[in-house]
Amino acid sequence: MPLKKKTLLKVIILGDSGVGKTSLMQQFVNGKFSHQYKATIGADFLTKELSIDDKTVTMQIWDTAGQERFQSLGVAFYRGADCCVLVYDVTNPKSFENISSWKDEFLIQANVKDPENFPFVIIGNKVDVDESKKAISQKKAQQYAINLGNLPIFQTSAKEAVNIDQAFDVIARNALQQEENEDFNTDFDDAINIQLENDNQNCAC
Amino acid sequence: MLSKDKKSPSMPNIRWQRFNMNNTSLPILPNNKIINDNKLKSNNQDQFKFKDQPHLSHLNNDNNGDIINNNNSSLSIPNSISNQISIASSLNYSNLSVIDLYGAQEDDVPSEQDQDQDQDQDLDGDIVDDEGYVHVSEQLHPHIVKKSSNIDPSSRLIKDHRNQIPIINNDNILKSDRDRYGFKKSNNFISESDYNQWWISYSQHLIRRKKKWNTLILKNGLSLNKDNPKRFPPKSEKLKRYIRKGIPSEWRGNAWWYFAKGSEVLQEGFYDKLIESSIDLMNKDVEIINRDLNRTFPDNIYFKKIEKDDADNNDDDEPEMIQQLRRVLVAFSIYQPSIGYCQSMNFIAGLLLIFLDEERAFWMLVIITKRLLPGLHEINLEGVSIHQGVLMLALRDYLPSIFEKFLKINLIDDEDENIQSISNYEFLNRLPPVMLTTSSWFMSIFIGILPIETTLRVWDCLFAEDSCFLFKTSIAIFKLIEPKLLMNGIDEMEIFTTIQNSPKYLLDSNKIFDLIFKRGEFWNKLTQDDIERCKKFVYNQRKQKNHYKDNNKDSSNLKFNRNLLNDKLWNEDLYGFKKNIGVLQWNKKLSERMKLNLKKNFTKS
Repeated sequence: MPLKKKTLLKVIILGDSGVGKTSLMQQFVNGKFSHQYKATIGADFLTKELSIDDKTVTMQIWDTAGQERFQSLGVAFYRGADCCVLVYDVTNPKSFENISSWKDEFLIQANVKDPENFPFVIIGNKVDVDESKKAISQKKAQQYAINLGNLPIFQTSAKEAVNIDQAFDVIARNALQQEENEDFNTDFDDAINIQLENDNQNCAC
Repeated sequence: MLSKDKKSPSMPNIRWQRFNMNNTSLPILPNNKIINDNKLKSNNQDQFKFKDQPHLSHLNNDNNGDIINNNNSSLSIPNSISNQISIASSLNYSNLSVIDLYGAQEDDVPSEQDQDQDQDQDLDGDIVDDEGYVHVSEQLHPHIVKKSSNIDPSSRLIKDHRNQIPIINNDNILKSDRDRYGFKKSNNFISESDYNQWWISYSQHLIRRKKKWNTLILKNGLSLNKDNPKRFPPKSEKLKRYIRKGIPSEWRGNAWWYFAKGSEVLQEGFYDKLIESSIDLMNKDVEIINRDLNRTFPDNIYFKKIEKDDADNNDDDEPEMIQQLRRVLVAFSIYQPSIGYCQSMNFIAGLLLIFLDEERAFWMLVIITKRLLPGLHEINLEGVSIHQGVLMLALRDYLPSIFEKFLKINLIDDEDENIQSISNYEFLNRLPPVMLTTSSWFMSIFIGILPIETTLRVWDCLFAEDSCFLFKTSIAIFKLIEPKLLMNGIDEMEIFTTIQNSPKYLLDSNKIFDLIFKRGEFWNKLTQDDIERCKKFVYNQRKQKNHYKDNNKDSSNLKFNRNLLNDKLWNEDLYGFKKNIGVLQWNKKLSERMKLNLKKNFTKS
């Protein structure tokens, strides 16, 4: 019987280049903001221990490169994700339009079993900017999130730490839920697997 | 709810065979010195033909018709220069101890005797003169923020960039919070006191090396040119060793330019034309370039955004370096549309600009993307996967335990029912997730991965020894962290963290360089030839399987245009394989090497 494992939640942050993915992750994990983040190449990740309703979990957050071409590298680590965060910049309409592309891309690459119910969370970042610079209204964004499958959406500022904890709380809860569903399936798969391994058909000698 | 009907649901069988004799074109990495690859030198040159840039022919309308679209002119060393080289090198040739091109692989680490010899030379009192070796107390960062017009090429004077790297002055460095290149000494991984402590001893190494370089230059009858040499000695074992121990930073710009054969590619005036044609250009590349300018070296004094009140955030306030960076990247994106702009090139161009003037930085970027790391930054990044595949092959041969570990944390769940029919090289097609981390090692050429001083030494060797050096560096890093990676019970996350963070502590570049060249370690025998073979092998494996995949997967609803370039993707030219690889002949030789390899491994265990 499997022992109680450390619960690990894998979260992937996607979105166009420069929308603030690194800043969001840093603000959430380290509670700070800097103007000095460099463009992310490949992917970086940070982890944070959280407790959700008395349960301690480790959240592993993957921060990805936003340039489109990096998508071709992303395949491998999307798999096994428990939640995907789609980020746009409220001052950049293009980044907003691309949200659904990122979602599709993720679903295809991550090969999720039940795409309809996979947890996504949308984040509109940089709400600290001057109102005049905002290109996407909150209302429009909310409607959009509903159309995309009633996804939770947050307006955040990584710079001023607005709504970050709230957003990540929902991310964590949804990821945990997903992980628990997945776990159930995986345990069952393992059992089948043992039988196969005992079967010496695949011996390499 | 349960996937009962899925027959073989998980765990691909990873009982791969380490040395598979069946696959005739499997490249085997060197374990012994058998092949001498001094052909390489000429090969590089042959292959470094610029494909014409037909889309730019409109720029080629006046004066010398040979500015572009003329392979010959860009291939040959201008007569004047080659004459000078041969005259210069004939002057004092007898002083060179070993004359052998890079093929010879003896004694990468100098023997003590060698070192003694070097020492003697230093004691030849008159060699190190005031001109070549001075400690001037000067302002640490002499020209920060100079203004110049954004686009007028005529204002873009070729500056003597060497001045940007101040001569070693311990007092200044120790007092400042920045290093000689304008970077912050401390970061999340290294404290200022760590830095200072290291610097006190490392600066002694630098001073010693500089003396030796001065001697080497003079003994070859070359000019120190007021501590700004433009020409360097011909290739030799000794020179290679000197480069491996670090080129003096004050000379790096010129030395890189020289060793990378910059003058062979430079087309006078062409860069200025590119800039002119880029005025007011707005496209996707330019947009991302603009976004990345301030995300390149935000903590570097030359690149740092000028902090001002938000209200009048004006482009005119941009540091000169940011403007140069924009021009170089935009010009490149026009010059090489199959690459355009790829994130990570901002770091490469940025570092070049610290050491070279704008025009030469541009051409160096061309050399890096075209000759040294072909295909790596192309739109689909297939070149990245090819390089990472080669790294996997190298790990398999040199650090097999790490390789196995990576395979084990490879994809668990698998939709591919044909996994059994796919050979043991599936890992080349679906690279383990850790490769995502190491892909940035190559794409950024270790900028931001290794501490700057260590990075610069890797760059020295890259230009002199080609991309095989990046693989050697990568393997040495893995060797250093091997004990950690192989710890019992280490989980995937800790593996990632280790790979991601460990290199950032490698302040002491000698530590890793000693390991790269450690006697008895096979990877220091890795030649560029081996790398080219492996690249070709990986390319073929991936090509085969991707065609298979493309036919089986409906990717029609992908909005991203990743697949649009598929036809171009499998074009060998893109990856610049540097020679025709005669598989049959090659395998004969390699089977011997392989036997040795097996024997060695056998006796080891």
